[in-house]
Amino acid sequence: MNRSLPTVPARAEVRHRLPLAPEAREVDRRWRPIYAVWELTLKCDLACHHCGSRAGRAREGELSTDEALDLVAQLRDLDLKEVTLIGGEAYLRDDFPQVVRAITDAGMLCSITTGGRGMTRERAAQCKAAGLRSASVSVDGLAATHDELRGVQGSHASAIAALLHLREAGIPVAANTQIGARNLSEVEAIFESLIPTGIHTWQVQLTAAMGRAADHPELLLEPWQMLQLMPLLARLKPRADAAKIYLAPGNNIGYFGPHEATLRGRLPRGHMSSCSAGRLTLGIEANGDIKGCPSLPTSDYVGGNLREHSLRAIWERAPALQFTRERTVEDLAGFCRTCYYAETCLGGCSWTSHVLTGRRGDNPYCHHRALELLQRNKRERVVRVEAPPGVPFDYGRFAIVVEDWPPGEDIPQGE
Amino acid sequence: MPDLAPCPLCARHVQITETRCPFCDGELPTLTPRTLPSGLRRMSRTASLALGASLAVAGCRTSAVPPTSDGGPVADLRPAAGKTDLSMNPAPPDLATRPDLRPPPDQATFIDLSGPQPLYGAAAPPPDDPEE
Repeated sequence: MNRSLPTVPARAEVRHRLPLAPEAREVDRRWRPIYAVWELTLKCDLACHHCGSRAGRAREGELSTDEALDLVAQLRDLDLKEVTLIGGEAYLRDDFPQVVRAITDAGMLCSITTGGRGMTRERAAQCKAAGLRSASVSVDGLAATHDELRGVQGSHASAIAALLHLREAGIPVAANTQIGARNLSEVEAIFESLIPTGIHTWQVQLTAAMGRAADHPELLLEPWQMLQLMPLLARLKPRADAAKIYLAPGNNIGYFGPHEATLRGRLPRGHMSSCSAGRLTLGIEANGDIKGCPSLPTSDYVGGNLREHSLRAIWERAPALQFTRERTVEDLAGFCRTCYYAETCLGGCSWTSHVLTGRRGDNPYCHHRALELLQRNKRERVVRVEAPPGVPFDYGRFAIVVEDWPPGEDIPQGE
Repeated sequence: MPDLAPCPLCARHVQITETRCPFCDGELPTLTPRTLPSGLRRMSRTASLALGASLAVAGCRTSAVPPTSDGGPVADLRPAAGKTDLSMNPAPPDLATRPDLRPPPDQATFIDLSGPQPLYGAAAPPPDDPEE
């Protein structure tokens, strides 16, 4: 029986795409992406409740094989170092091995992020033969929670099997976990369950209010819950080190609390820096739309399309990709504008902030911010005031509510 | 961007020009920022590869190449011996005997759920917003 994911009536998507600037500025030429994340297809074999891209069906007008291979050449010409293929589910494209091979032959590292449902032994061997260097499998809970979040019974078992198959094929494996309200209580157990799988990295990130996650705000953590999450991750860090697993907090898990050096000490500066979209990273949508970061909402951050402009031209001259290159605190708002770390952090993850409030630069998912509010007996939570329209990478609107700590409610331990 | 270093007393990052920690009010010794590899202050591309390890999230992804203790890729990419014990997890299924877990047939439009039914279901969820 065929099933389709439930849809909501889509409001007309308004795209405001500025034309490319006539020339690249010196600052635009100075930045070159080192890392691209490429949505090879939006087609997917899972039905994740929190999917920001609303993956399931392929996009209209996805790049052909020839166009994909030409893109690989353009990525090489920009001197990229690594390309991560994502979806949807990248392996659902017939030319997936060909694209992996092309990336590898072009001298770039090729990795994938996968839900793992179809990562059989045969497919893993195919990936290895094509030159895949590493794979990150998404694991969002213990079995029952993962299956519920991913919308397919048995998907947790498939994900664990995928880790095994990839390792057997000789591909180093990592795992990634989206943390939200549904699985916060399982974070430690998730980590413990991953240790025996041989992962080299466990990457954690927050579920952001985009796509299906914005349809279901009950999946989101509240900003004040950074007070719970950050000490928890810091407690897990020594165990990760002992297991030779790199615990990698994602860029949208905020910032600059007392555990910053513990959790981000491996970064070049030893702490969070600002959003690198359009400076070091590049996002590619399956139809050739180019963004500075693949997570950013399509409607506001696509700078151009490969069928109209070269990748280099979009990178250098598209206003939507330029916003971090000469950024100052003038781009910030709310708490972030006057934060002690404003010049360094610049509001943290642009994606997380924008999909909440419709603009970047005011990001409540910040440990430092939660601690500062706690000192005043306050906390923040988010309330959805407008639903998203129902298209890939869309968002609604949330209000950030500042409230007193409810009387009688315990303040999270560890602070 | 100001240079930051952790306060030795409370571990909060402070500007290295501070003489007292703005968070714990402790007196600070002379702080020095982390010494960056040559060229990193200009975000040289080689040094910036280490940032790949922090670029997580749906797109901002951690580099999936395994790191060494200094942040570079490991030399030995073979699965580590003795790390295939999955006793803490259910045994991974053998997909040859579990057709319900096999990937769905390639279809252009819908996810083929002839196997396990998705928990999502086909009916539209009840609106939680009266305006929907």
